[in-house]
Amino acid sequence: MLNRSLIAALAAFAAILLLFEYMGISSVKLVDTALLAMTPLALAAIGEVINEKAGVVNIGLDGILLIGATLGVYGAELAGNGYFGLLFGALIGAVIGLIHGVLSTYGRADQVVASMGINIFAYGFVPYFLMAVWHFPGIRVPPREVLAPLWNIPLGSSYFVFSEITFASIILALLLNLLLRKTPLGLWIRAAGESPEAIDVAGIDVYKVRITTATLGGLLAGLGGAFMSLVWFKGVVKEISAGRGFIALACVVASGLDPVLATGFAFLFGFSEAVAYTFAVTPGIKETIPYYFVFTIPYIVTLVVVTVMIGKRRFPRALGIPYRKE
Amino acid sequence: MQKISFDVRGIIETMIALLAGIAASSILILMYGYDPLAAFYWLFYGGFGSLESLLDTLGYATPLILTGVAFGLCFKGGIFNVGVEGQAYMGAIGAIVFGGLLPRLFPPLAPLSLVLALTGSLIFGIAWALPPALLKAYRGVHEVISTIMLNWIAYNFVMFLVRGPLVNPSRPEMSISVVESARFSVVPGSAVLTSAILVSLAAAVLTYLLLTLTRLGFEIRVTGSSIDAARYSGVNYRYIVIVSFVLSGALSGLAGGLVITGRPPVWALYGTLGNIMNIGFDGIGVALIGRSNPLAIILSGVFIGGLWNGSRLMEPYSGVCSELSRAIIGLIVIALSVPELLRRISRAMRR
Repeated sequence: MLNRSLIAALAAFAAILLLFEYMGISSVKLVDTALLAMTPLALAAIGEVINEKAGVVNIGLDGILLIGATLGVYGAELAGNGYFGLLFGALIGAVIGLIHGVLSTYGRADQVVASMGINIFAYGFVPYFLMAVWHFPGIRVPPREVLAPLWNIPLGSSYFVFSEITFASIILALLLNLLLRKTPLGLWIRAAGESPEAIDVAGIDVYKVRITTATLGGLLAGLGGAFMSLVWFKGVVKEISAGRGFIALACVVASGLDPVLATGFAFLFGFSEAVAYTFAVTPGIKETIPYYFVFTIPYIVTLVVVTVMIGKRRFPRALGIPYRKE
Repeated sequence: MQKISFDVRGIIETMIALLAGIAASSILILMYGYDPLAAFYWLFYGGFGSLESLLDTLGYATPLILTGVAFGLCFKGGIFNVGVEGQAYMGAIGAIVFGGLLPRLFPPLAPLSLVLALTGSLIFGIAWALPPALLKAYRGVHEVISTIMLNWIAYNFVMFLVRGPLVNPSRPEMSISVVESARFSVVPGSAVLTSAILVSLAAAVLTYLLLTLTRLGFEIRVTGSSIDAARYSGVNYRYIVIVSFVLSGALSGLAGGLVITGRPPVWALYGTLGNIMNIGFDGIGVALIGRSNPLAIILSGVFIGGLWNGSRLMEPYSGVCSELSRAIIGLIVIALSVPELLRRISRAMRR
């Protein structure tokens, strides 16, 4: 069943690429941009899958991406090293995730309200931070030597642009899938979301499980944000997240909390972003379709995909509900 | 029927959350070498320090009260309508099309243009709230995802309109303005306050009456407290979702319409959307600080309006970027999300 839909998806994808080649758009360029656009979505989505499996919702991914992107640049400039910047962005994300985890467990917070607060905070904090640290409104372009590298792999007459972080995020999705299905820790995580009473009785601390997953979720979203500014866009603007945190949430719900499938949807949405960027610069298309319409493509695709996929999905029973320890 | 009563404990808890937000943002201000006392002095002096600034604050509060009531109404019904932002953008476009474009094309319509503009903003706001309403009611698509996608679609669509078909030919940095007869009258002594605030106040009071006195309001509140309880007591869940969204979209659209018809000096949208951006997101803060009670939202709307107004003085006089006011709102919302913690603190303080 899964194999058949996988083959159908791959066939459809190949047909779309052929169609674009026919229109004179390089599919190599489309796919490498799609993989770059996939990476922050996939990282944030994988983290949120684990988080929601344990019963905690975090709709603040967009804010964490934004703060991760900004603080990632700060860290990279501080250390003079792009990888340190990625790590720094991830750690800041982890701290925000940890705070959300503590509020959601010990604080028994309304998780949706708390994490929307994270978004609103980020939308105000980032422009403030840009101004306070670099004294320039809304944007920071760091010196090239502190960026993390993108590899150019020669392919025929052009290059295939690739980042090892993309590769790592795909491997991570596979590993976390195994962790969830095959390990005792995965069982605890799933139980924390399905029946927290049961593992509480079994002597496992529900709060610790949920705080751990919330921290991991924040860490991955923070890394995704730092990836955007340090690898992909080579700088940060105050709107860099552009709703990607919510597209990542769409990956999570469309996948029915499956890390590998969520990564697949991240690729689909990343691909639609790549199509938008390509349309915006392709002669013949850019004159006929207004630039602003082209940029609605990823959001429309997300809306349609979620609408189609959602019907079949079920979610952990205790998702979003604060648990009171016995 | 709900009795009108003052929720003293709620007020104390909200005050604690406000103080927590201000305290936490003071740390942020200190961390980057600014003076928090100066920043807050100018923030509050600029917002509430003189009659003129108070009037301007009310001007900024005018749409915020509406976006707050719009979010609060849905929130009462357990719906998290973060699409208020996009619905307000569309409402602004509705006002420009019906109150700017139409009366210029058909001059006999000019005397009706204010009514036309507000009707246009209501229709456009509702139109933008319907897709997430139907998707939630019939497909179970979570409204946070659908509304944010629609916000971004609205953002791009509105940018296209104000820089393209609706651009002002003589001032290309903004859209065409609404005609003179579609503008609320400016309150003397203020740069931004108009009689439009009466529309906001009326909408808040009407929504309060709807929620407390009518069967529909009761059903919205029951649905918000427990979907299962609502279903058992015979409430049609789909109907409540759709009606809540439609009302919320109408209020959001009206908020956008009042930014155009009720705020001098441009009576139009800037090409950057700078004069409308964030009214929806800050409306979430307004609603949560007002505990989704439309009457309390009037006060919290004035509070956030004061932050908008005061941040214009905070930036030049204390050097702190005006956007910090949004970070303060975010911190207050985070504090408000932990009612139990607030309850404990207030109990400890009373002892």
